Amino acid sequence: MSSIYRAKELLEEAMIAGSGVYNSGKVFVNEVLEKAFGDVGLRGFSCPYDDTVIGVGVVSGGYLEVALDHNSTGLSGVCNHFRENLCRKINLHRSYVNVVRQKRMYASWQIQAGAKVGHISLAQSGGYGSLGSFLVNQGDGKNYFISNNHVLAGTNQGKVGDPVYTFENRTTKIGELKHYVTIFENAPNLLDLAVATFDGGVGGQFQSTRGIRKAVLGELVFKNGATTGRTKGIVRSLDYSTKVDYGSGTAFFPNQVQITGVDGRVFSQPGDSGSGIFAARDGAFVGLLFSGNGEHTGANHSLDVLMQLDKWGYGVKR
Amino acid sequence: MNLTEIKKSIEAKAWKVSGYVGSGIVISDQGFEEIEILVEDENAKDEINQIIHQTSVEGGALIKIKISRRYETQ
Repeated sequence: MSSIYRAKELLEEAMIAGSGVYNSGKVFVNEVLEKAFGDVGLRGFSCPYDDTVIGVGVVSGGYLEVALDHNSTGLSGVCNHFRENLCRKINLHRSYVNVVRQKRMYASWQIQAGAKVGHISLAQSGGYGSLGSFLVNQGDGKNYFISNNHVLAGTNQGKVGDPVYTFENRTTKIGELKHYVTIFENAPNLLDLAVATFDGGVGGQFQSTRGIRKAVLGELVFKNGATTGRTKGIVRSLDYSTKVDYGSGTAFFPNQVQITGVDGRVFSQPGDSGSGIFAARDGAFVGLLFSGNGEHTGANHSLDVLMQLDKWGYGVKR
Repeated sequence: MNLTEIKKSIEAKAWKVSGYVGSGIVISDQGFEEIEILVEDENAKDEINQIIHQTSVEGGALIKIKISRRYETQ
């Protein structure tokens, strides 16, 4: 029986190593299995993120059950081959091992606004941004969320369909990049905006936004960001124009909302980008946070965000 | 020219100044609107002052220049 548990441990190691995000998606399960078991591997088989083994466990009756993703291609005959080689290497009778094809299990996550999210390029540098606001497209009924281009697309680096991750506890794919507004260095920019879809099984705290309107000078607002959490601020300007340092270059953003923290706290810090900004008075969405200088915060106007979402075909309720 | 026009007029030249950080119409501590221009250093401040001088500002519009950190993505 101890061989069964040893085999289980090794397969678990392979599963962890094979979860692409930690290894830029390049470590194949085969390599890990070969290290553990010699030539035991899914011969003639490869998959891009190599998370083919989706489950392993000792089940009732003392069997080691290994589950392979049923959606993977080229699996015909591989289950038996895998079992024969695995059993031979760990000296287990084949009747103790059962290789099955199974549907992948999806976490029924309830991700929240303000969660750490981002494009893979951010994960590689240790950065992250915030999930801004949920969006239910009135056209197709699907769930989306908004944040910044520099968060979900790594400042123009992303391609539509790129995976988008959450960095809460561990790095996990939650969806795909759908749209973003390109940021230009030599021209005025209005928006640092991107939209992503959710994967199946990932849910959000979908609460009806209490309207979308322009911010009012002097009004109290709040946001929920991944770094500073929930903070309050005052709208200090509705037409602030700033140069913003993107690391790879500087972009000019005219006529933005500027917010100052209250109660001696800054309104935002790095990592809060992408947060939705809401009016304290009526809960309306008034801006999309994207920049700051330690004293003030810069945000895109909500109505500019709304106009762009309309252009992309998202039917957003006002 | 009203404040918005003055701001636009200054901004059209100022954003090319390397130490220019930003500008906007803000509410002052006294509760009235004024133009605030942020710069990174004294050199930029001098350049912005020249731009303000070149811009025909009527009616004694309030323009304050402050030294500030550059904005970066959050």
